[in-house]
Amino acid sequence: MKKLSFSAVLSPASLLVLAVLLTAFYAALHMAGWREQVSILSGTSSATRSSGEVQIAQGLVYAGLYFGMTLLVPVLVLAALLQLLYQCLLRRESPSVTTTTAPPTRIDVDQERQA
Amino acid sequence: MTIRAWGGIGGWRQFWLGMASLIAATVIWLPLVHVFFQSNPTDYRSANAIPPRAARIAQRHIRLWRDPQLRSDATALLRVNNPEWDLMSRSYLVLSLVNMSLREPDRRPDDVATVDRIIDDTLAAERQQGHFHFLLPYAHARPFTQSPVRSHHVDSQIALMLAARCVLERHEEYDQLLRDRVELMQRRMETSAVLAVESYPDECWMFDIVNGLAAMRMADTAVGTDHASFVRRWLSVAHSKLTDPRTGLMLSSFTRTGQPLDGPEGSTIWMVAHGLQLVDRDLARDQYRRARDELSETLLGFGYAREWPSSWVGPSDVDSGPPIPGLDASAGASGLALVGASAFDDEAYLAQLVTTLDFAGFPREEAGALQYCASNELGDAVLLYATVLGPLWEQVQSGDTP
Repeated sequence: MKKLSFSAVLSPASLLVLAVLLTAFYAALHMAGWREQVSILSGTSSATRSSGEVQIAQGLVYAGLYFGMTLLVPVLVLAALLQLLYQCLLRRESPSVTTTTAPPTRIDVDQERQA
Repeated sequence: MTIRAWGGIGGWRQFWLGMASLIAATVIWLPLVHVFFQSNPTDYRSANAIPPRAARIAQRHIRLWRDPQLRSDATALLRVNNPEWDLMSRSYLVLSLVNMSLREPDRRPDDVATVDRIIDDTLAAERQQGHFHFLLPYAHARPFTQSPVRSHHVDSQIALMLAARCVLERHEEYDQLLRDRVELMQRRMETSAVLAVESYPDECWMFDIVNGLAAMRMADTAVGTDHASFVRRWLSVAHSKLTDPRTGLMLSSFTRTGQPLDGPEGSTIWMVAHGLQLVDRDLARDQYRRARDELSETLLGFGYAREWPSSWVGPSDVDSGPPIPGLDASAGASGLALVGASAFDDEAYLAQLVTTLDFAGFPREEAGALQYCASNELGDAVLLYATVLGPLWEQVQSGDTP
């Protein structure tokens, strides 16, 4: 199994996948009607204790994903675009370069072995 | 070393590139977020007409008072959290509807019918179940010091409703009920050296006292009572004994002898400053300015309010809502800050607060009716009031009788 490294997580593709996943989760919870449960933010909870605990969990998850959608997703997309832009500029400066996700060099292989 | 090599060795260079891009994206995005939640001021602010946002919020509340099942569900949800919210959601809605009728007189017959329904229902609940019906359970924890047992919270809220109704349009029965209520409130206040009266056992709240004084001033206009000298005496006491020396802000609660319980509180002071506009305009503006200095905050274009000034450490309670960690933002204080900012024409802060509301209030619109999911019926009624307040206070200040 391929080992997941920090660098892979921070690649443009990974950032975009994360953004899509967050958006999809948020959309699913939104369509499931969890938005109403965020009344817990003003200290308003459901009538019964058990439903109140469920509501707190749903409200917190929904609110977390909503703020993730509005604050984090644009940052992830923007970061991916900045990386792609950077790579484009480098390619323009060095025509020999094709992509940053080129096949592994000997140094990569050595490093993997060491790891 | 070629670029191809760094891409491959990639590890660390890719890592640092990833981190740098995330930091750069954060620095670019965060200051821009508020732009996407800014509303046109004409949506929530109008000198004479009813702003579109107010009409959308009001629609849901009016429907609640026309549909007994909806009303019952909404009331149950409020009451299980805080019975006071049930009462205050009524009074803020009454104040809102009166202001809306003064803005657009064509609405008056419908609005007056809704206001009367609210008042009658509230008076019936008070008659049948007593003041404890609208109080938190801790009202039973120890005896009230004053007899007969009443809560100034309930008296002042009902007086506000009756007074607003009578300023809009005279009504023989309500006129008399208003006279009786304000006379009773004054009589009970006179028994304390600091003119304070209990909302809870030996707990006097500035919020209720100022609302009671505002109701007295409205009664002076509507039904011809005269509380001018009593109000002057109260102002003198409040200056000397009911003010926090560090901030110059009024205390939020104290005993009947004037011993401070809680210092200046965000969920109190904004409404207190607004109420004081009917009592002493200069003091009102002074309190608003101090509250702005001590409690208002702005972060990346979003405005909010804290529950306590930095000089006072106090707990969060059921009125303030849970504070947002790190920011110390309070939902209750921020909601009432909208009332303050609107009442004192503080357009910049109002715009920032509305931006926060649209960002973190989780608005939801259904069939033209707007509600804020992070709020509740009381919170929405306060927001409605913040968008339509003005004409009622102006009519009382000008002394125009209905």
